[in-house]
Amino acid sequence: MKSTVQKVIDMALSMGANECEVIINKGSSLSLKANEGKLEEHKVSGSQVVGVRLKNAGRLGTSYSENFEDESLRTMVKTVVETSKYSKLNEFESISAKDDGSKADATNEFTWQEDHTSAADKVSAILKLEGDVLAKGSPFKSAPYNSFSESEGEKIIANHHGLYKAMKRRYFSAYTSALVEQDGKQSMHYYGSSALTFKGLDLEKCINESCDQALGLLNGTPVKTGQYSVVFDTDNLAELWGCFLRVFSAKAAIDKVNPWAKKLGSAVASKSLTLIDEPRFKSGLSYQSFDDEGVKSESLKLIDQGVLANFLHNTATANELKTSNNGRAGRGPRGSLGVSSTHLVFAPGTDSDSDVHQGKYLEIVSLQGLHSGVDVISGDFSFGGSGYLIENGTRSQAVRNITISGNFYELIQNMGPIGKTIYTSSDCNFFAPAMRFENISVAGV
Amino acid sequence: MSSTIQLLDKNIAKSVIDHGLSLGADFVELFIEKTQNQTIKILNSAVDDIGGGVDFGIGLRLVYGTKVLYGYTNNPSADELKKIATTLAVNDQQAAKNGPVNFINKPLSKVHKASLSLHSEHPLDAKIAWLMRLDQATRKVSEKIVQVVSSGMQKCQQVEIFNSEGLHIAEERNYIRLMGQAVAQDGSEQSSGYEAPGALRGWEYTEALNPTQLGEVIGRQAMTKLHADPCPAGRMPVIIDNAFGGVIFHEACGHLLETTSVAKKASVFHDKMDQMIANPCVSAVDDGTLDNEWGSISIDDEGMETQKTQLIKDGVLTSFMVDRIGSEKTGYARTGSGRRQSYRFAPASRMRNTFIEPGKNSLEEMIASVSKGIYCKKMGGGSVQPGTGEFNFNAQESYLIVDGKIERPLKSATLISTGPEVLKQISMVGNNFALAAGMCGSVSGAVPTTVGQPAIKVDDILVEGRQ
Repeated sequence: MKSTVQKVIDMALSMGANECEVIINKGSSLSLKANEGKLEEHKVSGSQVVGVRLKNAGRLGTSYSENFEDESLRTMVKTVVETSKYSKLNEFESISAKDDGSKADATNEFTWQEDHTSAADKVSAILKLEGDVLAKGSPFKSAPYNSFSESEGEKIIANHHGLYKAMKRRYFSAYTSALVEQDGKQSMHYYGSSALTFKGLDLEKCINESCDQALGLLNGTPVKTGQYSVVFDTDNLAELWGCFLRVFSAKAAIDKVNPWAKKLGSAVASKSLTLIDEPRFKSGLSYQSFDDEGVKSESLKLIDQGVLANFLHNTATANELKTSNNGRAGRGPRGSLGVSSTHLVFAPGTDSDSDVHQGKYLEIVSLQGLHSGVDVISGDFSFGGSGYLIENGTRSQAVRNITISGNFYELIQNMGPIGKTIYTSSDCNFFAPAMRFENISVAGV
Repeated sequence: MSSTIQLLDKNIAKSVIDHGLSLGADFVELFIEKTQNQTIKILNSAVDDIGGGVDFGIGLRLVYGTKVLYGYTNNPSADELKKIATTLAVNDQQAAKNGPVNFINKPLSKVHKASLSLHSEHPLDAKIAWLMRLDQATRKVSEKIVQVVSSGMQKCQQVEIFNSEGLHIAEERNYIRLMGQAVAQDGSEQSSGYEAPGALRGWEYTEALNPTQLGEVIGRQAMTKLHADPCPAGRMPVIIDNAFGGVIFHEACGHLLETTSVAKKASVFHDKMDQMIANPCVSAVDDGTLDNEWGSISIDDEGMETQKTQLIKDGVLTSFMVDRIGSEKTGYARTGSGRRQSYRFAPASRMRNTFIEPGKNSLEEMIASVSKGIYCKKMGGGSVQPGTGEFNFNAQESYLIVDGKIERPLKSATLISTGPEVLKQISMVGNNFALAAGMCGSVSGAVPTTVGQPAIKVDDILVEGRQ
């Protein structure tokens, strides 16, 4: 791939570009699905894509190609040289990253682990994910959605300064669902697991969580409309925070679509909240030591005891806001330069889990409508939810068909108890203690 | 248009499909795709980004009974494709049941014309000028509009399909989508407006789309919500207006009528064929044949000519949406509904242009019939549990109805129910039918789909708000 990288850079410079960056992704994957005890779908893939970003007389442009033949590469570069002439003059975005001498191999230790699992073991895994749900018998009807997948790939980031960074990544993921039907009522729940190795997958948890929640929620009914304390399970807490990550984006601040654009250094949350973006968190699946411009990425406090401490920056946003770059460039071969977070890690709170779970509250294990029920600008959200009404440590009612709404930016300024124990989301990218949100509006009956 | 498309050498296609048949597969298919795309983004009233590129790849499907083996690659060589077939069939290989294939080129019976496709070399500055007019018109609505993002996306997707039944067919699909988003701010209050019309056409689509009017709609949406009251919560009647209002039928009912979920018996409708599943005033269709509509196709991604499929007639379930594997599993005839985002996905039964057909009532009559309820003028997105049809939808623009009249705008209204329940609760169907473009995500990726309906009245539904 080194020769392809050099070819694209040479083409760009020879066509008049002043600066050039190339990203190549190359990978393969395997995925399996089961139905009624048999392998229903077996999918393999091999893919490659090269993306170019260049600066030509002060103007930026991007393009990509999935064909690595010389003629296609030349067309790609020629297209972007031409279209970049229509872009605005951009004094802030430049392709300036230079090799800092760090070894990419350090990253690969955490993102690429040898795995020699046999094909038969992988097939057994998917059959187990479906079969163990079916084996539970009535009222478990089926496991209609299930999957095992393995992905591996290599990413290269290079530019005209001679920077050349390469990273290999391999991961495994699996999920299953349980569909329960009884007395004309239906309930379904999914659960997944992700890991760097096949052995790291927790298939039992996928099966048990899917079955337990589907059965537990079968006879769920709405609670009375009102204000409730709410505790989200870790996956749904990750989903909730994930809806509002734009507040940390320096690019969104520059683009005037970040509601916290002018709040750097101001209190935005309860003092009990500290949130760190930790690219080198060894328990996570998104370990990285450099970002998508090839700039070093290190631990970054986003919220420090309730105060907005930092935005996520790339070279361009740091230049424009006259601050230092913290190595959070996000860019794939097909896209333009943005910013992205890595692992979100909350600091432990000072309360015990029993403080978080005291008295009466709603435990939410499933949220719906996350991509549509959010206004990031205002902070208003409204989701469908399912879970349990907890009273004094006991699940007193399964709850379905409710909506949960509020203003996220107001809620996090008035947090309830935050636990000391850190839990991991099933995708291993979000690490947080149990958090209790107070006075959330719930519509039921 | 199809006769000029040749993405893979026919001899290579034959050798690969013959190889698949020699491995004992019942059915072998090659889906070759070349997609060129271009996106122009305007931000801060300047060209922020012009991006694009070319996707090219081949999907290979081998079917044994109802078991699907699927692989894809960017490499169009016979050796690579045969290697994938051999790898996929390693556990299923058996004696060949069918002989070598001979292709018969099938012409398209319908072509959706696009005069200013990405191949037309329509000047970039003309496209930028149109988007700048959208930007300016949106900003002009109010000084409180603090940001506008507009973009134009064009895509030319060429697909070529060969299969072991001798089918050889190709189609070029030209897409265009224009997007505008406004952010309004007054003190600490912020709100947004959004529109994204699209069509199966080239840039000529903009000739009938006035950027000034579109910008005014987007700006007005943002301003209407800026100081709107919180929405009341509880069960009440709701009027859902036309066009994107159809997203509820799409998500909460449409997905349950795809054989993807029916075959697994994961849909509550799987055993309800010919039964009354909706109020008799409801008839619904999934129609892939509409001229140049965003969700239209000439052939589906399995090479079958698309159709108009009557899903519900006068409240009775009359058809599912059926792809090849769905047909094998359920016994229902294929409906030209096999779709996929790209060569990276095996096809599955998916919607095209899906809508509730027009009725007789006027919007005014419906509003007048409500003593206290909500009028949802523009729906936002939502989600649904595929097995149960439980859904949750956000209304992007909504108003409180009191004593048969619209009283004031509301913010953050969310509707929650189940597909089967809401179909029974529809008591009035309007005559102001309209369609709207959207993207639909499911097992075979994100595909362009149109939603639509006239205004409908739902007698009783749970509304979530903050009041």
